[in-house]
Amino acid sequence: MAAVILLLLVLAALALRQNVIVILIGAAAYVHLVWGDGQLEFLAEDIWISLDNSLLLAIPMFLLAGSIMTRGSIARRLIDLAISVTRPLPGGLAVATILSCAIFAAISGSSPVTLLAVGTILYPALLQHGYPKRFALGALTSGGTLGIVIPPSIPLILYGIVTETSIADLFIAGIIPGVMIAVVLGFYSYWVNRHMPAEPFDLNEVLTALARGGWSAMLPVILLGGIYSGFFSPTEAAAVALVYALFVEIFIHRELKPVDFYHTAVDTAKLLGMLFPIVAVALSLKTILTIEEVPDQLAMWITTITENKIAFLLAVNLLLLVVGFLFDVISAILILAPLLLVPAVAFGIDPIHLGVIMVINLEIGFLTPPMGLNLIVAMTAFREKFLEICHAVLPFIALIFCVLMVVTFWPATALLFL
Amino acid sequence: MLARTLRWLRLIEASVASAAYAAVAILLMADVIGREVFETAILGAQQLAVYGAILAGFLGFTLATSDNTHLRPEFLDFILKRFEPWTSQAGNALSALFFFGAGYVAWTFVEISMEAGDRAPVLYFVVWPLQLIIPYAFISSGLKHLAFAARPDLQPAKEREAG
Repeated sequence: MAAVILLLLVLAALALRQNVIVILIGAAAYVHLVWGDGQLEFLAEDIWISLDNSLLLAIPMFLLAGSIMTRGSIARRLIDLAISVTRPLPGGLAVATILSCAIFAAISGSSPVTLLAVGTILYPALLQHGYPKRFALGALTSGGTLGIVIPPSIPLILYGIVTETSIADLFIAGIIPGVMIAVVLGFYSYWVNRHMPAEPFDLNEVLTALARGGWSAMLPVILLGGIYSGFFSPTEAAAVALVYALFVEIFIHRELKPVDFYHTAVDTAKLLGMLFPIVAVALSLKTILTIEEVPDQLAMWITTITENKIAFLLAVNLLLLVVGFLFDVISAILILAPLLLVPAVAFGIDPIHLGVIMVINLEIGFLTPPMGLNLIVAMTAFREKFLEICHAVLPFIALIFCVLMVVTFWPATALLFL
Repeated sequence: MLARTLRWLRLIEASVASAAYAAVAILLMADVIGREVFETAILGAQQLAVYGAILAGFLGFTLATSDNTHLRPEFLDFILKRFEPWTSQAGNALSALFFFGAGYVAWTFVEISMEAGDRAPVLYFVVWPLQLIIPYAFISSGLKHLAFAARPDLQPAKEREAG
């Protein structure tokens, strides 16, 4: 009965145009009152304790670094670099599209920002050079999603926090799957466009492009190198990223003014203002779920249905794909990661491996209707029909799905460097 | 008058949030340089950075209210569509009421912390002055929603934030 009342309250709040945060805090308060200890001060205390966590510091720092680094002409610089390297390949511009998306997404950490920044320049260029429109739409819309797998990835940080798993290990585990997806999409782009003419390699062009765009492209390398070698933690890496981004934009590219930092910081604060309360409430609800032993009961229930690890992994992938259709990445990770972790560990699945599987599944969610964020952004940015973009991304979804299956059933792809 | 007050409030909150992020970056970087170059970490730098990020995060929460960028599912909007603009005004009034309630609960939490004399790890100063940011953010958001309920023209059009 209490659950039905909660559902009705949520529906009423939705009809009355309430924000997600009002609904989440309201629902958490209801859970505390009905199933918890009945004292709402504990909810406020949970919020404080959840946010008083040095791991969370990495998120605003990476967001700030990404926003600063992706201002101005950085997209143009990275695209020039990618084009200069792939010029000798038939269909080189198509491969450059995926490469640009991969590098830009790794720096910005945002799929829609990558799509807009790279797409604005490369979409007209691809059409102008005679590449099929459907391919151009699919490559740009899908390429942008690489940012959530290739570290530094905000969803991997959130997974690490909510499951108490090492974020440094998650970042390292994301490298091979991220590169695999980029290589597979790049090879597909080459294969589909192999009839397009190749152009001669120009070393001078590569060196010039490296001088202009290499500083930004080095950011993920410095971060991962620092984390992997033990020089700094992911949180410190985020601060290093921010200082490096400021250095490059102020002294190398000379495109950042103090007012730009102010606007970037305010935008980041707003994003975090939307995200932090959701994280805090999710962690508070997780505490109640753990006290009530819900994940353990779920694990026991699942193991009574099947003892087959492969069946469990397939079911997890199916669930996450369906969830990816309906929820955004952050909500899906915050809600499902603590629930799935205990059954997964019971089946002998490494929590790091599960994190990478979750993030690749939810990456596909960026490309599936009705909630696929990249589909919606692409529809607006390229002024094409929603259905046309859905068709365009289908081969790319199939390829990412193939990589997902490889990563799922061959854990070494994620765990090799650990 | 109301519009100007909201504008000033936003400017102050945005300036403090930016300064807090700058401080967080400086503290973390100084800690890394101190440890790697001078072989001595700065005592409590990371804890102070955490508090800076909490401060900026809660100010970001109320800034998101100012700019109407909080996430809002829209799929049930059709139910009360025929009662527009009353639905939006009632929604803002309800949000205001909710945030005032949340602000009161958060204030109670701060009072308990104050009485218990809760202190920060490592640096051992009392944390309740920092915790005041929670009731502040809720009350500030509540006041903004109340202003939007009274003057819907002051609420910015919904923009899509993406991550």
